[in-house]
Amino acid sequence: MKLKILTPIILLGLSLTSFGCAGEETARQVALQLRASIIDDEQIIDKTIETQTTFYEDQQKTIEKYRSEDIIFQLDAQRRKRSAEAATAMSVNPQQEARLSNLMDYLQETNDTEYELWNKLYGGEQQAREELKSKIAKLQRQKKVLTQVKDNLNQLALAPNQKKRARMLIQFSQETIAALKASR
Amino acid sequence: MPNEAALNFITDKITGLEIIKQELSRMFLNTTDLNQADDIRRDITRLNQVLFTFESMRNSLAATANEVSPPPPARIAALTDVLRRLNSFVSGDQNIQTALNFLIQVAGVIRNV
Repeated sequence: MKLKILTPIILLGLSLTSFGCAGEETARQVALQLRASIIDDEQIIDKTIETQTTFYEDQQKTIEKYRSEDIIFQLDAQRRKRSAEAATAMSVNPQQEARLSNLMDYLQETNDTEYELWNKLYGGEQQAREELKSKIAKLQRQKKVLTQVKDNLNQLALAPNQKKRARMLIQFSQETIAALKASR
Repeated sequence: MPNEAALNFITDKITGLEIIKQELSRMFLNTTDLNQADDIRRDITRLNQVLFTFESMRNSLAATANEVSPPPPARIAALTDVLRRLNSFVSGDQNIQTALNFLIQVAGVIRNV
């Protein structure tokens, strides 16, 4: 797609540098061709955005589903491990360990550990959401650049004998190339 | 739909593994033996990892523009056979350890087929 767009843009620039009538007519023809290529690319990007959005949303649901199911078992395993440790300590040395303060410490530590586990599991989810947003935003930026190019090419193709406008469009083409590269 | 055969195949595997997971979860909730509960919990966690992988594969397969070749008939037949064995399983009908072994074995076959 990159070459498909960039090659005609370079041709367009070369055609416009002469600024003769023939050069301008060539530029208009190239602009028409380029516009057709961009419409094709726009459709491809639309389809890609749709497919990728569906994929990311489905994958997000899958991640959430298994994370929610896993956390129940992870918490259960954690509780079982900690209660076994506490029960062992109390049974080995009941005089020292089986005290209310120790029991309160145990409950407090268990609560803290569970809270950390929840944070750890749901922290990843937030990151996954951010990545999804960023990927979709990138595709949408590419589409916006293409739409701008298309609008300007329309003006160039439909408005002959406008040298000043053509000069501006050369500059715009260069800026577009830079923006397109930056958005990839 | 492109890749329909491959999608159906992976969906059947997921369905089979989901049935096994439900059965294991029921056993986990009903058992009073803590050691057995630990074992079942581990099995469910492993099964969840396998299911997550298969569901991710299904999401990718549904999104791809590339054509994926359908699974060979031998694999489809093997999956159909093991799913039929799973359907014949009646919960609560056997000793819990026998039932566990059966379910884990079937899950292994579904995963690898």
